[in-house]
Amino acid sequence: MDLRIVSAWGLFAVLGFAKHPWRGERTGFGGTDQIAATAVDTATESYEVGGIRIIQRHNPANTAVVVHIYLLGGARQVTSATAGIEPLMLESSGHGTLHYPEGEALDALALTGSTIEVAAEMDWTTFELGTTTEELDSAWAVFADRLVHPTLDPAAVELVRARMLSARRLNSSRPDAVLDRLADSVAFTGHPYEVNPIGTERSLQSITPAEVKRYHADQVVKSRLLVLVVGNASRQHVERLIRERLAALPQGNYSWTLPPPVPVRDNSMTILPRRLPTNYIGGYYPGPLANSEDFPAFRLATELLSSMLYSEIRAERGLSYTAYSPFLELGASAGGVYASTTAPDKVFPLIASGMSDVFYARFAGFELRRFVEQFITEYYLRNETSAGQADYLARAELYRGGWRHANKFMEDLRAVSPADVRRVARKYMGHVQYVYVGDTTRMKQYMRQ
Amino acid sequence: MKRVTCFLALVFVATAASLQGQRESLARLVRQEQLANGLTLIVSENHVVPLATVAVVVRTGAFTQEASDAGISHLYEHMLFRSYRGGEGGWDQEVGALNGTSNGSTSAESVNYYMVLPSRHVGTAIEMLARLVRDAYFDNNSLTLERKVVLGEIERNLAEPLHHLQTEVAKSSWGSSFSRKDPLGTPESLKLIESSRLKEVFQRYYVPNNAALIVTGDVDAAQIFSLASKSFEKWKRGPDPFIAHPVPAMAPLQQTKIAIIQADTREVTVMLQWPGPSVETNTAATYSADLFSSVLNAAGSSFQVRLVGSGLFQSVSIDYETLRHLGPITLTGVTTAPDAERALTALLEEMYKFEGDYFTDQDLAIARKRLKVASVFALEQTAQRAHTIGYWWSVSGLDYYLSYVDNLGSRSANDLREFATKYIVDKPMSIGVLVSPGEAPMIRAAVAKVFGLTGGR
Repeated sequence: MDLRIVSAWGLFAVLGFAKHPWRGERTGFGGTDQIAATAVDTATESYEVGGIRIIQRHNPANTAVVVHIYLLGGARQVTSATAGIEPLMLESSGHGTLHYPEGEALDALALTGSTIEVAAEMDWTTFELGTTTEELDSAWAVFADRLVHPTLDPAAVELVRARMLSARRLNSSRPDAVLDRLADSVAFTGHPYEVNPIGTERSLQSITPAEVKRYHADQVVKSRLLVLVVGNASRQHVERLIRERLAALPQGNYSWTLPPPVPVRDNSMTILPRRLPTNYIGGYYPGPLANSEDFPAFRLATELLSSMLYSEIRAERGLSYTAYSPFLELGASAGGVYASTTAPDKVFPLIASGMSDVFYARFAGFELRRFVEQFITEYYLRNETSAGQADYLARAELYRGGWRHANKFMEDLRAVSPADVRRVARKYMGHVQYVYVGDTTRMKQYMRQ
Repeated sequence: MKRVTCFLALVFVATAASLQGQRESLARLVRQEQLANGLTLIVSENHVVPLATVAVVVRTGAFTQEASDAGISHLYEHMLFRSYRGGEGGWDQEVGALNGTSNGSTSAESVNYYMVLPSRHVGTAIEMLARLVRDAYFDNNSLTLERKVVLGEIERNLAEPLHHLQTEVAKSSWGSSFSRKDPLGTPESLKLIESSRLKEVFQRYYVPNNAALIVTGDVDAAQIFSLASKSFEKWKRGPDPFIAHPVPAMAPLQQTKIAIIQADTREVTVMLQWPGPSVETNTAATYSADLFSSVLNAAGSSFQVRLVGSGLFQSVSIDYETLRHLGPITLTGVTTAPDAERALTALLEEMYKFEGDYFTDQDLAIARKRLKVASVFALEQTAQRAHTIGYWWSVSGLDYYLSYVDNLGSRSANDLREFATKYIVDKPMSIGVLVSPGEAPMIRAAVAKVFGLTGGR
């Protein structure tokens, strides 16, 4: 193994990224019966308005309406020097637009009770509106003006910059956020994902208001947008709003593609010595692209590993409160390992043996089906809400070649065999870029091995 | 192939009515019964997706903990899952066999055990939860193992600088009553808990007349009541735990206290906390507290504009935790060391304005509209609704939940002013500041100057 020790004081500031929920919730081992056959989605349609692609799902069950605008590209839109520019731009737009100067943008939105959120992710940034049928027109007016005509006054950009920097600094003292950032930096070296689109302290400090304005003029173009609308709104209503408010954007010539796969490298260990009440083990292994034939089997293999880590490390030995295998649902997917523990020298071998169990395990098809059916439960849970449905449709559109493939994923999972799982586990799980934040004296026994 | 009509199912409809009248809408969605043994049954149907959430909520938590028992209510939440079927560790396997997930939670005044699973298995889930709470089995081997897991959870908290700020502020606020606000306990208190004590406390609080079964999702209420009746009828009623073991009143905060917490941090995080109202003895004030928070936290409010829009703070928010045994009002702000004195001065000036004509009609209109929109989105989350209902049942009673939005809507600017005057302005508070060691002297001096105090731990 290649062992590198990174000085804590040389490390750049980090941010806990929302895509890495290091969770501790228990999951069971799955059952054998199935919820439902794959369904045809008759509530969703897609169309184009003035060069903008829209996917709309009609849900008259209540009055919620969500509009998610995906600005595509994510990490591939920025460099290490400009990382953070897109969320900085979108957040700054809340402080003044052409039709709602200065504080009027906040006031106008507030009067509708609606919310606007910005989330920068590896493959895109989402600009999200949460409102109701009744408030849609008023909320949309502010929302669209923020996207199309933001003032981006230097004072507003400075205010937002200061808040974003503060958030990065706060996270630099949170061990999970430090581990996250370290794991990303190591796992994605040489790949577009090594630049985190939420930005670093260095990049956020260096971006100028003029650059933010230029970015808006050059990069907020219709061809880079995907609009998801879920809720109680008619197609005619949505078409009118888009035509009226987003038509002014230039078309651009952006074309979405999946990112390249994450390069495969030999296992490595990167250590950040810290004296903490517990220690943090993490790391990623690269997976297939989201549209690859291997993807469903890889997803199941990661879930199997997660179950084994929970069982071996927490349930049977009490060595950790949280032990599992995280999954990065990205265009270039990845799986991982995670555990917080005061006994890392005992946990590391269990992680290795857990992986080996997935590589070589002899398990019957019905045992695999338990995990598949559990996915279906989680699928329905995600689709309880309008926002969950919007996200699910967008990922199918962008990752699997079309929103109509959303429901097909369950069929694909059911078609995976135990042999498929073993094959992809051996192909992808053997190349882990481990990271460790904690007391290195507790690892001596394991490192000597 | 089956058409996806489930997303269009109209069995459940949340009307976008005005805030007045939400009680009627909610009451149609929530049905309640009670078994002869005292167990409360609450069902809320929503057929959008074919899932059900089944939860058992027990009215216990930190508030029932003596100082020597700190962490016991959370520990036996863990122990119950491990002890299922006499400690054979079958809970996870049985949940998995139903294609479900499960978890539990312990808070100041509520403990919750739940499963989310395909709705066709709801009967089995109800039976499993009945067995879980009825047939608990505590042995020392299981305790040894699960104590390690809970210690792991505490250690994770101890690694977070913000946790230390929250703990020190809470200790200042509640004094000798702190264990009744701290569900987790400490490594030291956890090590002292024996299985005999676990059993004793469990038997006291885990009785059906102190518990509720909540079921939400793609279910039929009448069928659920029938299933629950069969599964839980053997659970024997016990003495009312709060008659034999009344919870002592929280000691009131007599004077302002300061704690300066030094940690590896690059910002200055300020926390101010006041003992707030009890939902039992001053229900009206709890609605004022929530509306007050909503007004101040709104992005365009004058509070935010003057404190955050000015750049003095990077963020400021205020929160009230609704509890029966005094809920804390907590203000948290992030600033920098060079700005700290001016930021705290501006904050104090702002707080004094609460007594005047601070809250406008527009403020209230915005807060009500935010609540209305938020309630529409909350109704989408059927699984979460089980937890919400369970929490309110335990802390305040179901009627509080049903009437909440209507009561919030009826608050006036004067109510908010009265709330601030009674609980915040010039009232004793706990002040905590999280700061790096190098900047601690500057911050200590700034706090002393702004609040006219000396000392601080």
